[in-house]
Amino acid sequence: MTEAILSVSALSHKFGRRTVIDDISLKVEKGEFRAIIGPNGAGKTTFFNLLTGALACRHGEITFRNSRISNLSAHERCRLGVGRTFQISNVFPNATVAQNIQIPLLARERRNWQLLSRACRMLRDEAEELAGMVGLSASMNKVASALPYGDRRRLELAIALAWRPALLLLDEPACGVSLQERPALMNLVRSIVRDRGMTAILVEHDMDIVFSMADRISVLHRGQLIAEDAPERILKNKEVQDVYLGGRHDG
Amino acid sequence: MNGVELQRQKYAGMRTSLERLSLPFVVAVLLVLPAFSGTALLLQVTSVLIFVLFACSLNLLVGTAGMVSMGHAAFFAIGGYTAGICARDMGMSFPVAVALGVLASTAAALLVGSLSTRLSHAYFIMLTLAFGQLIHALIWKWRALTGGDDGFVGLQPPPPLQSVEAYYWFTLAACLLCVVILWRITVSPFGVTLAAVRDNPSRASAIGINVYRFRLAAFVMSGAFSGIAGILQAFFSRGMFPDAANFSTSANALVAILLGGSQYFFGPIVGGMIFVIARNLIAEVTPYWPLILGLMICLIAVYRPDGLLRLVRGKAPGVGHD
Repeated sequence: MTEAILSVSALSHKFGRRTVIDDISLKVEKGEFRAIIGPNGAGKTTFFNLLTGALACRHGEITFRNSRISNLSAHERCRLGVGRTFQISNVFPNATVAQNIQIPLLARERRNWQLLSRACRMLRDEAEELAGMVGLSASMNKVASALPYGDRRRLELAIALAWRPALLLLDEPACGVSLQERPALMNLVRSIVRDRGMTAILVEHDMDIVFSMADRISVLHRGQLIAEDAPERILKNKEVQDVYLGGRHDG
Repeated sequence: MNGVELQRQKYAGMRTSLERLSLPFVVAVLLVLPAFSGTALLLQVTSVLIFVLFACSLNLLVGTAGMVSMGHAAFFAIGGYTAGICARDMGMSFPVAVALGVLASTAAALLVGSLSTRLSHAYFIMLTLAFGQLIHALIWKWRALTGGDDGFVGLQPPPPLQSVEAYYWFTLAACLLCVVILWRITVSPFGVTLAAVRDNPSRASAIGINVYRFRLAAFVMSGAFSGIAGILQAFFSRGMFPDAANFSTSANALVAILLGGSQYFFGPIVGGMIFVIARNLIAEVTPYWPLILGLMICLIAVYRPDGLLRLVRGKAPGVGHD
């Protein structure tokens, strides 16, 4: 049996009196491509925020590579190998593409506390390599806010990869990207994840993407994990069909 | 390439040449100034240099880190009063007094920063303002130590620096050194990371950056350089007065930053010079100079919110560049 890289046990979270994550327990195996699906408001992004430390985890436990990370802050979890992209493109808007990638590289190498050396040439080769990997070689000196949206999503992916994460959380990476650009972007994601031997968790509404990429699928509904199985079995699951894929739609 | 584009490139080239020449030109003028000017002008320029250093130190926080401190004059005053008390009342040597002045402002910045840099913008502004006014009140009331509203007077720099010209050279050297260090910090990995924290703290945190520590470090560095400016001021004016810690001192530096442009490293330098010169010129014509200056600031805020440097430099550069 393959080793679990991530274990979530009895995780719950409330916003005020509203429970948005309700007693979720799941395991993700090393090298797995897991998708999390569910209607809007099911708690997918909140679940990601709890995994990455963007939200404090008050109930339940998260274990990553056999270490308890529930009590760690976002930057500490990143240092342990948890990387993420955001639902809405989230880059450093005033920095160039090169700088956007150099900043996490400097953080990884613990060189961002250097005070009197110039940053612009530092780790430039690795930044160029990462930019090339996501197809942004020609835009290295462009300011991030001036990039087309699809390119910003690629840049975000490069930023997340700079730490060489063992677990990559992808929050709707194709969101806002044109239908024409989507296949290329998702093929890029798939090849990077496979080539680097990473484990990935994908939140996505585009079911073509989900069913073509995921090894296993977890389905959330109203903060609860209602199903977890291989894609072909999820398709046949009556409860999943009712709440999300077929019949009745919530949210 | 069309004519408009060629014209634009020509002007961009001219602008770059002008920028490259302007800094050596200003430094050259400052270097030859004592040979051609009288005492009054040297005193004026010395005070401008000190003010510019204070504005630059505050801009590390405002421009690079994106945190608007309303009480930074407290660190300016703590540096000046501490060095003054050490030199005049305790008989310590000038270098020791200076070192203790810097240490005191750094320690105070560490204390205030550790409490305030975790807070959101509005609460950060309120806490720094409260701390500044607290120090102002303390200086005002603690007459035995600070001289209260009579001021802390009778402070003398060491004999080699007692002439106006010698103190000018000392201030110029100290300010140039500090400004160069501040510039290096701005373009260093630390400065670039700080700008990233300013622009997108949630993203910065998700890529392994301890946002709080970076903000705190910027606050402490800014406080330390403000302390150096305060020490230079104390020995320049042969004493310190409670107004040094007042909100108006912090506000003047903020106005200088806004005038020049907080997103440019040279913004507070240009803004500081314009602010002091405009203040002195207008004050000669009318006692209501704050009114005219206020109007100028309103016009700049409305028509040039990026500061006056935007006119010659174009859009503010990306992080870590200037």
